[in-house]
Amino acid sequence: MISSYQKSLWSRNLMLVLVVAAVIGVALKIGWSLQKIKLYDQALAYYEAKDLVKAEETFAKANEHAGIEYGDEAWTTQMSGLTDIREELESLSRQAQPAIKDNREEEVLQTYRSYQSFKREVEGRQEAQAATFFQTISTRLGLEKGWSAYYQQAIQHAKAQMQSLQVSDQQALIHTLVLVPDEFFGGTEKKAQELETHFRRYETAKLQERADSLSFLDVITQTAKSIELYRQEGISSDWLQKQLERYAKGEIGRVIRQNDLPGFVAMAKAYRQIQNVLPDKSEVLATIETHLQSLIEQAEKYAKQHKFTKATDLYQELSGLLDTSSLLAGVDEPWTQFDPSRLLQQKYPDQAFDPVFTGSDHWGAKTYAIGVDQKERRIYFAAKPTENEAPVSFDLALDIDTDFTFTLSKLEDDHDSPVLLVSSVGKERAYLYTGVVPQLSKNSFDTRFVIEADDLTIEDAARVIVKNAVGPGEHELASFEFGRKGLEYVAKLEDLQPEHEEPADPASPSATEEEGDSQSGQGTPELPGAPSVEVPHTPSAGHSVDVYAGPGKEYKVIGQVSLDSSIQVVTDLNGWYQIQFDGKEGWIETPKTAN
Amino acid sequence: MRKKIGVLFRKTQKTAYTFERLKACKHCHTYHVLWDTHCEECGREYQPIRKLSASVTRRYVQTRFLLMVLFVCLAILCAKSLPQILIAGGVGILLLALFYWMQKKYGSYERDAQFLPFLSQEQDAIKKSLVHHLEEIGADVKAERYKEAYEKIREIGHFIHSDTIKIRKIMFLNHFILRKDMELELETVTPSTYDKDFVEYLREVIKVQPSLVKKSVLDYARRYKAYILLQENGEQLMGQIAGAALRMRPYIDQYQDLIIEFIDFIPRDRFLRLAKLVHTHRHEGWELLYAATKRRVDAQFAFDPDFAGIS
Ligand SMILES: [Zn+2]
Repeated sequence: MISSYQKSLWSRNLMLVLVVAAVIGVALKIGWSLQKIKLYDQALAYYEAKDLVKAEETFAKANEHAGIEYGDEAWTTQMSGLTDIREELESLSRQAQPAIKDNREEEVLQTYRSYQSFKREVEGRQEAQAATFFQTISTRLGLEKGWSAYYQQAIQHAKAQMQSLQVSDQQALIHTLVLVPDEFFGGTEKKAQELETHFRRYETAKLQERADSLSFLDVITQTAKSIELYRQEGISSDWLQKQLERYAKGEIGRVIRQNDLPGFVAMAKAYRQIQNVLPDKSEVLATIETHLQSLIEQAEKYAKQHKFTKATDLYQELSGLLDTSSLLAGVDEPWTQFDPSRLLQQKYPDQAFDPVFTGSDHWGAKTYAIGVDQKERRIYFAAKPTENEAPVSFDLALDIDTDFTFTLSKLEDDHDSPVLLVSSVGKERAYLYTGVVPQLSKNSFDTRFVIEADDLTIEDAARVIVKNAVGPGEHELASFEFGRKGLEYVAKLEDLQPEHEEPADPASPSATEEEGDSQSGQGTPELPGAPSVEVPHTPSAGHSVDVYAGPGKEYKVIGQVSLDSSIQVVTDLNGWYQIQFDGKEGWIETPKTAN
Repeated sequence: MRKKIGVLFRKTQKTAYTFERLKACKHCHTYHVLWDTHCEECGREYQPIRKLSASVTRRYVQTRFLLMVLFVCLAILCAKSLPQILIAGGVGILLLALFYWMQKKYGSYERDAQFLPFLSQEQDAIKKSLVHHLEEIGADVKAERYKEAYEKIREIGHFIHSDTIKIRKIMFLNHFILRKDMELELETVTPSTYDKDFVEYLREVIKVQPSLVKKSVLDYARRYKAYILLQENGEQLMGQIAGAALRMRPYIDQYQDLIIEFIDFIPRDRFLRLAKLVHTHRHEGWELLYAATKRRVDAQFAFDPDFAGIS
C-alpha cells in the first residue's frame, strides 16, 4: 500500500520535473525571442541602408527563430517574399548543378524551364525590388551562366560530330539538340531552321556514304532508323524520306532492268519492311507492286501454256514477297490433270517407272497414273478420286518371275472400270495372263483372273477368245465370258491340233500394244524423267504436218505445224506426240525416224 | 496461588492526546506506539504523526505552487508576442506572491484541517502496526516476559478499549507484587463483564492504593455484587470498596445503598471518617445512612474514645 506521505512526495516531484522542463522552455523561448528581435532590427537597418541581399539574409535568420511575432507586418511580408525567391532559386541551383555535371539533359531542361517560368512570374509581379533581388541572387548562384555554358557546349559538340560524320549515338545527339531551349538558337523558328539545315546536311552526306559502302538492306534500314529517330523527336524529315525513295528507286529499278529476280525479291521485301517510315504514297512501293503484279501475270501465263515448272518456280521465288500457296495450289491442280504421272512421282519420288500409264475417269478416279516396275515385278497406282480429295495410292507385287507386259484391256469389270492385263511367260503354255482391277475404295488391286493359254484375244468388254487354255477349253479355240467370277468357259469355237506347234507369230507385245492402243483412250506411256522432249529434226524437214485435237486421226484437225521449227513436245503416246501449239495443246503423228 | 514477582515498570509518557503517542517510519510506512525511537526494520528515526501529517500537507502546498508555476510557464510559452510574454510573466509572479502570502498566513489552519483526514487515511496502517505489537506481546507471554508484555499492552490499551485487552492486562498485573509507586491502573482495566481475575486484582489494588477506586469500579461492584459475595471474603472486599467510595461526597450520594449494605464490613479508619462526615454535615436523603452509621457506632464503637461525641 502506498502511503499518502509517499504519494505526496511523488506528485510533488513529478510536478517539479514538469516545472523544470517548462522553465527551460520559457528560458529558450525568451532567448530566441530576444535573438529574433535583434536580428530583425539588424535586417531593418540593412534594408534602410539599401542592402537588400544582406537585409533578406538577416531577416531569414531572424525568421528561423520561431516563437514570437515581431515587427511591421507589411515589411515582414515583403521580406518573406524575397526569402521565398531566394529559397526557390537555391533549390533550382541545387537541382541544376548536379544535372549539368552528370549531363542529365531532361533534368537540366526541366530546371531551366522552371527557372524561366519562375523568372517570368517574379517579373510579372511589378515589384522592382523583387526583380532586382531575383537578378542579384540568380547572378550570385551563377544559374543562367551555368545553363548557357551547358547548352552552348552541347550545340558545339553536336555540330562537330555531325560535321565529321562521326556520330556515336545519333539518338542522343538528336535528342540533345531538340532539348536545347529555343533561346539558344535565337528563337523557335531559327532553331527549327538551323536544326533542319544541320540534320539535312548530315543525313545527305551520310546516305551518300552508306550507299557507297553498304548493301541496299543496310542502307535503307539505317536510314529508316534515322527517320524514326526524327519522328520520335517530332522533327519533320520529309526530305530524308524523299532521299531514301530516290535511292531505293534507283536500286530497285536497276534490278528490275537486269531481270535479277532474287535481287528484286530481297530488296522489295526489305523495302516493304520499312514501310512505316515511308511517305503514304511511296512511289517505290508502287513500283514494287506493279512489277510484282506483272510477275504474277507472267507465272499465270506459264501455267496457261502448261509450263507448270516455270510457273511454280516463279511463284516460289516470289514467295518471299507474298503468300503464294494458293497460287501454287492453283497451278498444281491443272498440272496434275495435265500430267497425272505426277501423282506417282509425288508418292514415290525415288522410283523410276517404265512404262507409265496415265488417264482419267476410270475406276472412279478423276485422274490416275499407273507405273510399272519391271525389275521388282510390281505395279503402282496413284489417283485423285476428285479434284478436292487427297490422292490415293497403292501397289501390287505380281506373282510372276519373268518379264511381263502390261496393258489396259478392253475388258470392263464395270462401267469405266477396265481390266489391266499382265501377260508373262507361262509354265504350261506360252503365256500367263493376269487380270487386275484397282479398287480405290479398298486401296488395293483386285486380281480378277489368272489364266495360262497360248493366246488370248479380247473381243469386247465381256468376251475373250482363248487359245488352248489350261483347264476348260484345252486344245480349243474357245470363247470365255468375263463376269463376277473372272473368266468362264462359254463355248468351243474350233478344235486345235494338239501337236500343232504354235508359231510365235502372235507376238504378245504387238498384240498387247494393239489392244492398249485401241483401248487406253487418253492413257499415255511417258518417257520417264523427261516429260517433254525436243522433237528431233527429220530428213523430211520442210513440210508441215497436220495437228489433231487428240492422239488419232479420228480427231479433228485443228491446224498445221512446220517440222522445221522447234516444237515443244509435252509427252508422247503410242506413236503420237502432244505438242504446244499456238498456246494450245495438239497432237501430231510421231515422225518415223523419231521412234 | 501463583508466585508473584516484584517489578519496576518503565515510565510511561503522558500526552495531551492519545494520537501523540503514535510515531511513524516514513520509509516502511509503519507505526509504533511503544518506547523505541528508531524503526526496527530500517533503523530510521520514528517521526511523530503530527509532524508527518504536516509534511504531507506542506507537500500538497508545494505541488499546488508548482502547478501554478507550470501554468505561468505555459502561458509564457503560448505567448505570441513580447508584450504577451511580459503580461503572462508579470501576472504569474503576482499570483505566486499572493499565494505565498496566503500560505504564510493561513497555512496552519490547513495543517490542522488536514490532520483528521490524514489519520483516517492512515487507519489501516495504524491498525496493522497495533496488530503487529499484539503479536509481539504474544511472543513475550510465551517467553514469560510478563513485565515487557504488560508494558506493551499498557501502551496499546491507549488505543484499544476492549475487554480482551483489559483482561489480558489484569492477567499480566496479577503476576506482579503491587506497590503504590507503580502507577497502577484500575479504571482502564475494568471489564464490562464479571471477571474473577479482575476482582482478585481489585482486592490487591484497594489494599495498596484505594484512591484508584472510582465511579466505574463502584458501578462494577454494585452490578456484580452477587458474584463478588460468592468469593472468599467477599463481604470484606465489598466493605473495602464501600470504604473507598467514602473519599468523595458525590460517591456517598450515589452509592449510599452500597455503603449502608456493607457498613459493617467497612474498615475501622474508613468508618471513622464516615461517622465524622455524617456527624458534621447534615444532608437531605442521608437519613438511612445516619441510622446505619449510628447503629454500627452504637453496636461496635460505643466505648471507643475516637467515636466519642460523634453520634
Ligand atoms: Zn522503517
